[in-house]
Amino acid sequence: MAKKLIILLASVVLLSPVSVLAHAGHEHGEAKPKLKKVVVESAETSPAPSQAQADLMRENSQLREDVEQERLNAAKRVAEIVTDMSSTRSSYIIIGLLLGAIGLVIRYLPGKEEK
Amino acid sequence: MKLLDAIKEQNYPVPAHSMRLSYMFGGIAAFLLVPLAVTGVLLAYYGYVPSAEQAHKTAADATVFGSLAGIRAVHSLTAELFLALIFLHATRIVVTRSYHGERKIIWYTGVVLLFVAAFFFLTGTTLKLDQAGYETYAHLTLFTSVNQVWFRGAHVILLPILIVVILGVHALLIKEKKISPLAPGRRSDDEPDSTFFHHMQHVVAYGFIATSVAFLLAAFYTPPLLGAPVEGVEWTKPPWPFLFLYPLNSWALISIPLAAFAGLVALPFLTKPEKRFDLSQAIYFVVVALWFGLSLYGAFKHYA
Repeated sequence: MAKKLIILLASVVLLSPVSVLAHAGHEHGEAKPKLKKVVVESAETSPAPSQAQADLMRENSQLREDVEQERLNAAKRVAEIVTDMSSTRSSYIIIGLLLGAIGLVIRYLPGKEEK
Repeated sequence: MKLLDAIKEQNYPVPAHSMRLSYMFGGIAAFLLVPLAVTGVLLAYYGYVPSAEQAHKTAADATVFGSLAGIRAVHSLTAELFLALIFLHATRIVVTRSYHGERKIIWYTGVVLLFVAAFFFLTGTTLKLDQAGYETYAHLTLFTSVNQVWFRGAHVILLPILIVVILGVHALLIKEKKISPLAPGRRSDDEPDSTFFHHMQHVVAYGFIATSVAFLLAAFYTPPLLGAPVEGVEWTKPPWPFLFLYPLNSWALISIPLAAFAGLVALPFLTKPEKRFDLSQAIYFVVVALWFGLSLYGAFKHYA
């Protein structure tokens, strides 16, 4: 029972699609930034704002929206930096195989101290 | 000669079941600290500059150019393997209920190690300072006022020292109280004994094999590095061990680790070795199921 549970959990952890999908910035779906509400501050409160004040408010609001939009666009543009492993891939394969071979040799060395 | 005798004294008898792979997960995880340290030092020495201005650029350079790209991949993949093995080790302890009686203290040092390792992993993700690293940093500093330099210092100096010290205490306690027994009801006194050196021979062998897996994976897969962060927006997901937090709100960052810590501390008090399956195991597996379910939900949940 215990062995089965451990094998099941090991399989879940090691073979889980989560380990592939869960890396930050992964590819499925369009990245949709969390939108921050654009808060437009009210202009000086006066009973009857002048035309100039109203224009200023409108301009201010438009500017804020533009800045926020630009920021969100920038977030969407953040691209993944791609690695070119072609030149070093074989080195890592060789080191990996070598380490694996060392592991197997150690594993199957006779345990001299065993009673 | 005294040194030789002292080393020979360490070759004390251990039960035969300690040669099972499930009783070596913790040792293999500890072995992986070696390739983690070596690749970490190489990254720090040859490529990575931990300043706010240079962090992302040098991490990107290390990712794109030369053999450092592979070293970064090995470091990252080994760290993930390390966390996965700690989780499997904890699960084996729960399955065999090795935390009852006077073995509680070993379990508690292990729980502290688990949390230190998780924090170690998280601080590592902030170092590259890409969009994902920035978001991790932003979440970690929601409830504190520490800056990025602190996280870098913690990852490079404080946490490695802490993990080695606690691991040392954990290992000494295991030596004093012996390797965990088989699950209650499955004790067998007629099993032939093995020796500690033979046990360690296998641990080191599997440690090499685990490292070789990290190298082979690194040849074909590089952990992603995004562009420079855009402040104020959030659109990436946490790495898989913490993905369960994604569907939850910010308070989960505090409440879930606290609840998990309290739960893990409580397990030895809830265990009843005379039963085939007890409350402590039920709680652990319900929490694991929740973690898995939330992680799966987080993986497929659309960016919100």
